[in-house]
Amino acid sequence: MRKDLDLNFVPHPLTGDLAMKSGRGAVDQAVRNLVLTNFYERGFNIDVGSNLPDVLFENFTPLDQQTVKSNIIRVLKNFEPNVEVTEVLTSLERDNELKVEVYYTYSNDPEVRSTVIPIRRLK
Amino acid sequence: MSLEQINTTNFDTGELKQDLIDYLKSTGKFDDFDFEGSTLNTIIDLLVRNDLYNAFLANMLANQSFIASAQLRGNVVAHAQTLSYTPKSKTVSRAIVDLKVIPSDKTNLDMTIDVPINTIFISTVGEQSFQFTTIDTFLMSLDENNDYVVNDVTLYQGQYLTNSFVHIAGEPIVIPNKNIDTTTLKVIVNEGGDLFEYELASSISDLGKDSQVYFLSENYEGLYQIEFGRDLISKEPSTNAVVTLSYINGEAEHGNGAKTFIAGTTIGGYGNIKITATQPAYGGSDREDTESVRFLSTKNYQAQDRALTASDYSVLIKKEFPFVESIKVWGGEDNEPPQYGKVFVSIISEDNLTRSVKNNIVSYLKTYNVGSITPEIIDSDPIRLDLTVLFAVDTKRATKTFNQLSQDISDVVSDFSSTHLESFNGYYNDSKLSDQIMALRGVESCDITKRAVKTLRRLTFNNPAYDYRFDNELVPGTMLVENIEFDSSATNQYLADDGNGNIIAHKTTDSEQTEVIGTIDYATGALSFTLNIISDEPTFDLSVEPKHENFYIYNSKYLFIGNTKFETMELFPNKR
Repeated sequence: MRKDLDLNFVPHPLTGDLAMKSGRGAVDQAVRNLVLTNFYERGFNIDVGSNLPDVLFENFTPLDQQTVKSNIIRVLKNFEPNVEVTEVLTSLERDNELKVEVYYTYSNDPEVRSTVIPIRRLK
Repeated sequence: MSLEQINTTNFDTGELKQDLIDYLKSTGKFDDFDFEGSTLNTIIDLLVRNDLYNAFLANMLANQSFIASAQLRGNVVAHAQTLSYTPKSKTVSRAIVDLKVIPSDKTNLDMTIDVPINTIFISTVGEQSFQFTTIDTFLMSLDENNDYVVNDVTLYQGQYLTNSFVHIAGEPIVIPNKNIDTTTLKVIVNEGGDLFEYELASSISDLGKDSQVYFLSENYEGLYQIEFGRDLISKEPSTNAVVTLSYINGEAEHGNGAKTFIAGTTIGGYGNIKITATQPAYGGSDREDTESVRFLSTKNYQAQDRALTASDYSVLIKKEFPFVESIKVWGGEDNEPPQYGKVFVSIISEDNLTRSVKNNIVSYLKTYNVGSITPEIIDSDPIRLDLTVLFAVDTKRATKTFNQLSQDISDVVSDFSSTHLESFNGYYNDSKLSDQIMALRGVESCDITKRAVKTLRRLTFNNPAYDYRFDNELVPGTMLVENIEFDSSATNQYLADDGNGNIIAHKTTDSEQTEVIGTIDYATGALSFTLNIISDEPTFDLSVEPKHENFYIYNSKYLFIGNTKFETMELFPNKR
């Protein structure tokens, strides 16, 4: 079973140890990590990531929408091979917000998981 | 499970990361953390980067800690400092001139006038002007024509500068100009109105507490600095003493070869100044570069400031006379004929060495060498190699015309000459050159024939004997001297050997006449003949064909490639 450290780094309420995520929760977090990573962000492994935050600095067009989808599918296929992406939905919200919904299944688990990633420019 | 060992000095990031992952897995606590998107993976990436920085830092520190591998000049110089080696500063060109001031009114003249410090002179080499100046005061006195004269005035190229500092005892004084010529540096210390001149300390063995010397070194920023002996090994000026440094600050270009000068100012109020250069400007060279410091400092340490072995002489001369491009030193016992008690030095430099420069070098060497050994400077002995390059072109592969290929080959030959020859260390080898020519695209085969040519100076006294020794085996019947005249009534005059060891003078008056004038030894390349040459030319060329593909050099000889002829042949002519 997948295990991972909780990215929020909250201590366990009883033991005081770092909290852990396991199973589907760890996979969800990994998908989110990969999608939110920009190219060149990881040292010596420059093509990890979907370059999603960079899209915020573009005039968003249908072509960018397609690029976002293909980048997300590519990064998950390459770096999370046990995840199979079923659908990626992108929609432009108000106030320059981009909403990305990723639907996927994991290791023959028939349940379709989804994670919603809203990204917004700060100014 | 036993713990893996982490190899944190690996420079391959992939392997370094795998080492860390393997280690974490081996602890048993992180079995299921091994996936690319995990948070732990991001932390490991961070550790890898940190390890890499540490490994790089350790590598740099190790490199900079040794003179052989240090990259920064400051570190190389600091290591050299521990070997008591001070890098050579820029050396400015210097010329020696005789001055004559011709007063227009020759009545009521003072007996003497001064040529003060920083009297400016201008010289032009090519289209470039250079400023020269004096660093000493010279006294001019009247000659029999009531002109003021002074001989042997040394002029230095560059600006004369003075800097004054208030001294703090124990602190070094940094000279704020990188282009200083430290050989011109004068240090005057003013202590309560009394002036003392301090000299450069060359060795601490002769010093006492009252010795007025300074120590010169280069600091980490590449600036020269002086220090005093702190009253321990020599005198330290007191705090608040004023230290005045005067020196020549060099220019970017060197004025070597300057021989005509005009005065930039009047001398003693007189403007009609005649300047005769007895020694044209020489010796200008750049400051010692890092690689030279790395090389010479260790060799200098081996020599221990004494000239005992041949290489000691080389190091000392190269250190003191940076204009030397190549140097060869051999003991008298290796000379031909042997001359015991002497050491011979031959030097290649951009400019010819004049007698006074040679005297300078000899007197410098005498302060370092063993008393019973006499150093002697021998003129370098250049031998020209004229080549005929016969090359075959594969017309299917060649992308260039004959002329273009000839130019390429000419470049290769010229590069070969400057890289492998033109110094005392190089010898000529046919195969080495033909390999480089055949590396050119389209050149399929290459055959080189060569002639060694020695340019001899024509001797003007009666029945002069010409002796020369090529020190290489020669092909009999190949010696030739053309364009020579020794009988004003004859034509078709030339010298050649007969293949049996005799040198024959050929000439045609009514019929062709021959006369044996000397001998040639084909095994050693030694030849000797006596002939009154009456040509107008001051020199003549004597050429021979060496027997072997290698042409070796000994003692003061060095080689350079002169004329190259190109001929081509078609590859497989019958099959086309």
